[in-house]
Amino acid sequence: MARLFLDSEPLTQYKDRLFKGSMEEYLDRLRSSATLYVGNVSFFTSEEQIWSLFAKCGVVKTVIMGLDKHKLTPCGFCFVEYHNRVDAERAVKYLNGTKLDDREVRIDFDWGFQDGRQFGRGKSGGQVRDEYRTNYDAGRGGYGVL
Amino acid sequence: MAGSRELEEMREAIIHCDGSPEMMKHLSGLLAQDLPALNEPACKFVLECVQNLPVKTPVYATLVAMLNHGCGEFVEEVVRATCELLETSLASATLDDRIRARLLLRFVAVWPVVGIVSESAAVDILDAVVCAALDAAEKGEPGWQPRADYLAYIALAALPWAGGTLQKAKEFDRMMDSIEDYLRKRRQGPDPAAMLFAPPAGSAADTVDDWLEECWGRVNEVRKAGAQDEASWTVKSIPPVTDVVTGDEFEYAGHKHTPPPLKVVEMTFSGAAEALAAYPVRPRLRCGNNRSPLNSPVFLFFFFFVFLRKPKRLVSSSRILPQEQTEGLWDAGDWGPLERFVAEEYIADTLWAFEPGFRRDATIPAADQMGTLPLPADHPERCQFLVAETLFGEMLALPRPAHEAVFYHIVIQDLCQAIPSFPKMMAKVVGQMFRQIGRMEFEARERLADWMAHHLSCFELAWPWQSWVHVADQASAHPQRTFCSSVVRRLCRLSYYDRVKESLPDELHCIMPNTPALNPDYILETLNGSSGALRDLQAFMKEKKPAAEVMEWLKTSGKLDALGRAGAAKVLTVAALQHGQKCITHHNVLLKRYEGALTELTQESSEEQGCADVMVAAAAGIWAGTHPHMAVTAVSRLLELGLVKPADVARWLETSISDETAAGTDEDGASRGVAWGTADAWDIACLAVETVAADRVNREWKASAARRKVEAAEAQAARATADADRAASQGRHVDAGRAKEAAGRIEGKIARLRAELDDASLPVEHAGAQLADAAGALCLALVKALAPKLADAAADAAGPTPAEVGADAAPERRDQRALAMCVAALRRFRSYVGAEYEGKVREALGGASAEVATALGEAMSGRVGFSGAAMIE
Repeated sequence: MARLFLDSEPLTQYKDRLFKGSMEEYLDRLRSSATLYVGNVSFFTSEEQIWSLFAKCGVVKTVIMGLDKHKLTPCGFCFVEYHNRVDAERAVKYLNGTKLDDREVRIDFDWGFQDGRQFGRGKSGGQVRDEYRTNYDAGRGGYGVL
Repeated sequence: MAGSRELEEMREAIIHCDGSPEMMKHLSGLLAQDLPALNEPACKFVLECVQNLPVKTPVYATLVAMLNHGCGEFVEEVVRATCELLETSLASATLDDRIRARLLLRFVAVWPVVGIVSESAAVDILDAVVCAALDAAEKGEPGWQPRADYLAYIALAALPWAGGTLQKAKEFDRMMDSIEDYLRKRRQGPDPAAMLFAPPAGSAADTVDDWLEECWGRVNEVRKAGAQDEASWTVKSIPPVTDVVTGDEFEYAGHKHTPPPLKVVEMTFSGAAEALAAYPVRPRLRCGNNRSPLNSPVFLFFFFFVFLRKPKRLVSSSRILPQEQTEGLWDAGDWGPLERFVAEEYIADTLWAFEPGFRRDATIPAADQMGTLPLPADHPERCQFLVAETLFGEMLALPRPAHEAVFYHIVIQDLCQAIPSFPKMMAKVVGQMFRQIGRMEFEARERLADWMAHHLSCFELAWPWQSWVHVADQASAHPQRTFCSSVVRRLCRLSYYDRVKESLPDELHCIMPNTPALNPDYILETLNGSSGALRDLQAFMKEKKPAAEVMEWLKTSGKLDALGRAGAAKVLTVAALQHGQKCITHHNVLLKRYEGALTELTQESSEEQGCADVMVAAAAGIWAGTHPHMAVTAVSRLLELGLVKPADVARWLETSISDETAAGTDEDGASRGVAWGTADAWDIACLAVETVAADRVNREWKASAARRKVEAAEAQAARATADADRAASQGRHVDAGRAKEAAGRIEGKIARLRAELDDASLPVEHAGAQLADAAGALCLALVKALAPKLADAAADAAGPTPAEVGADAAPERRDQRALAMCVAALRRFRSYVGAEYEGKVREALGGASAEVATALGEAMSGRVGFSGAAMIE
């Protein structure tokens, strides 16, 4: 029955503000990209763990860890690139919302990795979501930074 | 004329029809009002639902029948469209089409039950399918059997839904006799390499029935009983149609329609390997039942009757779970033989229907559907055992499961969270499999270990390890102990070493892998053999010297001449990887930095052969046996950077297998590089081929995406031109002009998109050929290197299974493991290899002993393509 509703499923809830182009172009890129954004990862999760999980959906071409802009340590997100779109879709279909290192990760299509996008965009160096967070999260540096 | 909104509402109403009498009456009333005008869309919606909601086939058949009375043309349209769609699906071998054909045939079979067609007409359609199977058997083209098996199977699979009614047709017995005839003509056990479990202890392979014989056995049982009493066809999971409408409404003076005759297209395959890949056997988590009637506890009093008629007796001697636990003993009033068959069909079909759709936004995820299947409510525990057993059977299917294994992992996880009693049942099934793991096929064991590691890592590593502490006392090559260490090794990849160690009981700490580190023996060996070059290179690494300078140094200092190109490449790789040991990104950075030097050292030139396999040996060797994952990752980095090709991996395997046995390494072999038989070697071989396969999928996807864009643009252009014409005919010239301009712009875009499509289509063929080369080279290398060495192991494998397969089983020898891995590799790559390499592999098997040739030949082409040393034509 899932096939009966495929047309009505939204592609993404997020638009990257630094993407230069129209929404139409952005969605077009998302529809053909084989790169995934993985969020809500713990700061301590190793590259190998990410590799082992995503290798279940296909041959992983590369994993690029998201880094804190100042400290250059992992700051809780990464990009995973597959060889083809089909494997990327599988990862989003099956692994989105499941656990990696005891945390539920969020997997989304990404419009394509470029150098410079591996750094967090928050003022303190990490991801923006960690600046405004009010709850305590041991895997992501405790309380929010601001 | 109905707008799109009304059509949407109609579609929703048909999709959500739940089969209750009130809703059916209401819906059929509504549809009857719309119908003569909306025949086509309504028919499309109904067929969509029949294909995508596999559990509700009788509901839709009843709905259509209720409309037969007033809207005969609609039903005519449904009948015609179904047969057309069935013919198209039977002409293609993709998974979707195979399942679609089976579901449509089921729909066809239910028609006589609701009175849309006569029984003979439906039996004729089923018969057409069976005759196609028989024809294929007569003709005997290469690789005919898998598709013919499939055709016989879908005819049998349609019967539980309608057998009681169909049995009244006079052609029914003739059709069943044709199927029996076909069963005699086919080769039994067409794919011995795809048997999940070796036959039960003490018996040989040809005494157990295979999947098609089991299906036939079940249906035949019920048919024989049904000749006396129609009620024996009742299956509790299929709600009887007469529940919905009773009495006069069901007596349709309505017209029984005549379906058009079915033409089943003949398919040819280039070889048995391709045929087996296109039509794999139906998975099941039991290895079959003994054919001897003497073991039958239930029907013993039919013994002589049965013995004289050469039956296929179905008995619980070789199942994972005892028959009482999963389907009862077929007593009167309890579940019949078809209950389990139907439940397995439901599970497989639901998994297929609900697999697409993105998880977070999926409307109804697969696990929810699984939890609400219409299985009989009288034995909930039995249903859960059955679901668990079937899910594992599907997941462990050989050569490949229908969907990616990770999909089944997720479904099982979701079910564990949704149904509180399910984890216990599932754990029991796993425990039973563990007890018989000595009989289990190599790849199935690895897949089960993979599942278990993923599952545990999502549930905080909680598992009743206490019940398995006895593995600590077993030899390290014992199947149960190797399974446990495999699970633990994968857990160390997905979680942290210390955490995994804490989660295990103290007695089991001995199965933990070593603390992840480089292999010191290999580095020492390289150091000793490098005449001092390694130390210098290590210093250069620290200084971050660029590749060109290192190359210069190697030439001028005379080390290149001393070591030779291969030796220098090895030392450089070892130095780079040792410096970058911290994580995968460091590996990447260092290999990229020295890419130039490594390419120069290892590429093929007019004077010397390429020696890139040396790099593979170094990358694998430096991490061999001391790290759960890095050996495979290091080789994957080499493949990604293009430093190494799959053919080099094949050559490395060939040399490493020949060298180790020539050098007479010890049993362990771990410190001497990666031996064939270790999990690392298996992962590396699979990785090399799967990388090329992934590239091919990429090219195909790009080509089909380009095609879709061209089609969309052409449709747009057609619409714009139509708009322009309409505006012009109405006198709106400005609008017409604008529409014509738009059409012109789109034409320009189409030209550009067509050029893109041409660019994208060219590499697809090439990618296919590359894949065949990669897979073929690997298989050929394995066969050439291993065939002379595995005579004993093959002889053991061909004999009866040893009596002890549980905790007291004998440890496996290295050559047995090597044989199992080789069989698994050939089977796994058989769909990529192509006819040419299949022939080469057979040739290479010419010089080997009979058992080795049979084992490996059957792994490549199945029993349907390889018999002894001869090819089956």
